[in-house]
This record gives sequence, C-alpha cells and structure tokens, in this order.
Amino acid sequence: MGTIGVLGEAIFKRFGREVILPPKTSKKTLTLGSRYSPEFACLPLKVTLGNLIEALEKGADTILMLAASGPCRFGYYATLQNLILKNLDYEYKLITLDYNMPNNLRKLKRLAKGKNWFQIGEAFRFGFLKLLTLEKIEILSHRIRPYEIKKGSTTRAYEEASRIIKKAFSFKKLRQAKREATSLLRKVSQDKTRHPLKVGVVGEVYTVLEPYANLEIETKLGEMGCEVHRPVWATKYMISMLPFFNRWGPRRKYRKSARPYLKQEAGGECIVSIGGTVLYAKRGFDGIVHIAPFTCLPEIVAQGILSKVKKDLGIPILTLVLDEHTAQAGFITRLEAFVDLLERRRRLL
Amino acid sequence: VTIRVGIPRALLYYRFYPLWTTFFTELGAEVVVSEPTTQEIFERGLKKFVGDTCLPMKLVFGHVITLADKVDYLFIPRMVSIEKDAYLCPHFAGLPDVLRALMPDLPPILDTHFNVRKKGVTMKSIYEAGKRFNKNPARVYHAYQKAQKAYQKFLERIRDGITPQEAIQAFDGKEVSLPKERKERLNIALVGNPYTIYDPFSSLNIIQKLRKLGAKIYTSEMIPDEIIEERVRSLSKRIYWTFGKETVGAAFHYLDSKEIDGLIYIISFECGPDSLLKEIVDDKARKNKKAAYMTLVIDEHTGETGINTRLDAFTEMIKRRRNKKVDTS
Repeated sequence: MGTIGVLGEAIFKRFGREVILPPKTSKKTLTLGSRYSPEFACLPLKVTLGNLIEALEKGADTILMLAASGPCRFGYYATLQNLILKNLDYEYKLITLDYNMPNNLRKLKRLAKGKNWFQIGEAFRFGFLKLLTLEKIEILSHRIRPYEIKKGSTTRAYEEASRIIKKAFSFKKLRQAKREATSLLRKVSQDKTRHPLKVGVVGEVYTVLEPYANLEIETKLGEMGCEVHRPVWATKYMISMLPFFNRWGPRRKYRKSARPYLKQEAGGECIVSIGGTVLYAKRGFDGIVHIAPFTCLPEIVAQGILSKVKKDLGIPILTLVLDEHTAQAGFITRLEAFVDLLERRRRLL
Repeated sequence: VTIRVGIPRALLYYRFYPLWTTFFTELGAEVVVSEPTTQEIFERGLKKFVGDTCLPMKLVFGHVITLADKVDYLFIPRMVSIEKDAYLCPHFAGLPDVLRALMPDLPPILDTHFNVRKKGVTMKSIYEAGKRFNKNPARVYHAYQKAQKAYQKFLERIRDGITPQEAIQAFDGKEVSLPKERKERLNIALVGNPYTIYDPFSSLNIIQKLRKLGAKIYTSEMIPDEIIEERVRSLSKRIYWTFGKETVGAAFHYLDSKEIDGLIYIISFECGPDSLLKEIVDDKARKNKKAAYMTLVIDEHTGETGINTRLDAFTEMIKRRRNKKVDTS
C-alpha cells in the first residue's frame, strides 16, 4: 500500500531475508484482484489481493499482513485473502500482525533469523526512518508543485528523489540520500509570486496513500495549482496502531476537533476525515477533497457528517467515491470543476 | 406527564425491542414504535440521506422522520458493541451523529453509548441508558432485570421455532398463528442480518413466501450461542461483527445438519460485513454438498417477481433432489 512496502523491505533486508515487493500497482493488478474478490468488497481488498497474486507469481513464499480487529472490514482482509489464495492453489505461509503485541513480537523474533532484540529494534528504527524520509520528500513535493514553472517537472524530480531514497539501506546512506533528494526537488524552477489554493485531502487510508487507487489525485491537484495537505500518513497510521499511541498519538487532535460532530470513533479513518476537515477549515483552507472506496463503511458515516461540517464552517467539500470502474476523464473533469469553484470563491471573498 | 420515547421499527428493533420496551416502561416512560415500513416511509428517508449505504440504514431515516413529531425523545443508542470482543458494523457507532447532522430539527436523541467490547455488559452502561428517566440506580437496575427477563423469554420463544417478528408480536400480546405444518414440508434456513430479513419491506416478505411454498423456516436466532461460537472457531480469525458471526455460525451449522434441505443467505446490497462473509459461506457451501444453497442480494430496486421466480426455482430444486435421493437409496 503506497509506500508502506518500503518499510517491510527495509526491515526484512536487515533480517537477512529476501524481500519480494509486488510490482507497482497497475491495471493488471486491479483486474487480477477484482476477478477473484467478492463482488461487493471494497477497493483496497481487490487491489491488495491483486498485489499478493503478483508477488506470489514472482516467487514469494511468505506473506506478511497487518490485521486490525474491527469494526472496519480491513481486519478481515488477511483471513479472506488467505481463503481465496488457498482456493487458487497458491502455496505460501501467512503471517499476520495484529493488536496482540506479545504475539507479534514472538512472530517477528522467529522471522528475524537469530538476530537479537537490539538488532531487531535497529531494523525497525531504520525502516521507520526511511519511511519518514520518503514522506518528508513527498510533503516537500506537495509544497513545490503548485509553484512549478514547467508542468510535470516536480513530479519527475520527486520520482527520481524517491528512487534515490529507496536505494539506501543503511543509516549513513539514508542521510546522504535525503540530502541529495531534497536538493534535487529544490532545484525545480519555481514561480514564487503565485498564490496557490490550499486544499486538504482526507479520506480512507488506503485510497489516500495509494496513488494508483486515487488516480494520483495529489499530483493532479498540485498541477492544477493547489497546495495539497493531508492528515493521513503511513507513519502516523502505524504509530496510532500501537498501544498507548492509539490513545495519545497523532489521532488525538483529530478526535478532539471532531468531537462536536462525532463523539465516538466509527472505525477506519472516519474520525480523522472529520477532524481533519474541521482543522483545515479553521486554518483557512480553500477546500477539502474527501476520497473513499465505494461502500467503505466508516467513510459513508463521515460523508453524512461532513455535509453538516460543510454548512457550519462554510468550506467546500468534494466527495469522490472510487472503485475499479472509476475513469480518468470523468475524475479529472470533476477535480477541475472543483478547483474552478474554489478559485472563483476566493476572488469573491 | 409521561415521557414518550420513540423507537424506530428498524435495525436493532428486531433484536432488542422487548428488552428496550420493558426497560423504558418499567422506568415510567411510554414507548412509541414507528409504523411498519412502507414505500412512503422509505422514500421520505431517502430524501434526507447523503451518500450511499445499505437499505436498512436508509430505512432508519424514514422511520425517524415519521416518529419525529410524535415523541419527546428518540432512542437511537450508539451501539458500538453488544457483546464481548465483537463490534457491530461502523454505521451503528456513527448513527446518532449522522442523524443529527443530516436532520437538525429532530427531537433530542438518547444516544446512550453502548460499548461492551472490553468488559461485557456493566452496571455503568445500564445506568447510562436509564438515568434520564430515573436517577435512582437501584430502580434502573431493577428495570434492567425485568427487561432481561422479558428478553430471555423472547429468545426462548424464538428458539421454540418462531421468527423474531412473531416473537415480537407475542411480546406485544398479539396472537401468533403459525401455518399448519404439511407432511411434505421443506426445511429451509434463512441467515443474514436480522434487520434485513425480518423487515417485510426490505426482504419482500420472504418468510411468508417460503411458507406458502411449504417450507418451515429456521433462523440463526434458533441456534444457541455456544454452537455458533464453536462453529466459527474453525476460522483462522474470529469474526468480530456480532451479526456476521451469527450468520456464518448458523450457516455452517445448517449446512452440516441433516434436517435442513436448503440455506438462503440474504444480503442487503452494500452491506460491508456480508460482502466479505459471503465468500466464506460460499466456500463452505461449495465444499459441502448436503444442502442446497442460494444467496439473495436485496436492495430497494429488487423486484417482487424476480424473487418469486428464484424462490420457486429453489424449492423446486430441493424437491427434485429429494426425489433423486429416494430413487438412488
């Protein structure tokens, strides 16, 4: 999912395991995934199933998956995909990590090929740092893109930059790579006289993180001249799955600002979508794009409540529901119309 | 003056009505239930709803609107979890907030927070529900005890072989007349979310239809909890949706039992948990050829004739299978 694979790769390479990352999500992945998935399952299930099939075809023999436990459907993905893959006669070992921490640690120890706990800790620290670096580069690209003079130059620089970081497998190399990547992005020629629109992208974690699933919405918005911000990041997501941090970690401020509208977490990123929208509106953003996979349970709840937030705080919100049939052209038209609306609104205000 | 509490005839009404009603009546409130679902109720709700969701959720909106001017309070509890280590679908956790967001001029909503996932049902969650009617914890607890008794009786009635709908009628003191059992009866099990199956509007009265075709109906409520727990243990991960667990447990049980001829799994379109669990039940049914199996996906556009045809075909198939078995043995 998005950049999360990088974390796994970094950690398990350190454990001395061979890591097979599924090929970049493509049309083929989605076709494979939706062929074998239940018809009404949500988009992330279909895409990740496609990813798994492609990885198994490339020769993977062990699958590592995260599994929360409810109430969102994500917690049941691993079990269901296991069932489907076994019925397709693939042979592999499935390892799931969930909220049961002692159990997780035992599983990890076994995977770590005799490494001691210090080394395991270091591997995690490195993987996490690498992911964080990637995210920092991504944030930087979001800041630069609306100012770029030549359309597409930021995206090209960003791709090169993330390639450099992905190649780093030690702390030292990572530091170097970070410097290199940052300067590469900074070199993009910019027109600083512009005043880009500020747009927040909120929604379900998978569709926000995986550029293929959201049809590269952030790049598109950026190239239409919007500065994109978002509350959902892979690192934050993982931190808030850990004990203690789920209560006091990055989600806390969203829970707090969503409180007048939603008193209780309804699973998934529901509360972050609402809290994020409220925070962005208060910070004077021009608009919010809310994305969710078709039939996503928590985000439908969010969608209903967001219609009230929209009225109360006077911020335009565009909800985009995505599934495997979403087409580029229609998607772009809707985004363009929305950005147009934001521009006019700004001129009027 | 008695306080009137409105309970929409939707969702958990089909599971907890006797419990809630007894509880509120014991505490001196008057319970008002909305009328049975009609096309009009459905359409009124649909106009208010934003986004897309399953049929039962859309129906709640209609019921709430019809209740709005008749009651002082609406009872829409925030049901995060109704048993230990299991949730309901996320819609339930957000329902009171969504209702309030989309319909600002409703009477106050009693959104009792009900989350017993970690500790099971506690005194605190009970008092939380009753404190607005009676501040005395002992009274509230007493009311709860009585409500539990009524609820247990309701469950017993169901286990004796009637559907929850009929058990609710019996609870209300109405006569329940079961159709006479025929000699050549078919035993058909219905599984799925209770609020989809037992609302005659959303399920297109499937229970009566099957009975007319000579079937005796078995439901997941008729199986004791222990058996359900035991059946779902064969899965590598425990199902964490209460109704999903009941559905799959019951489906597994009925697929293996000798007395059942056919199993029908009723799903409302866009139901999240069922969209995944269908795959698991399908898989089991494929490997186990004892009982006939069919899924019906239902939404507001489902046509009556289409369902009739499918039910006809299904019962016909069971009859043929039976005759074949007789021939070969």
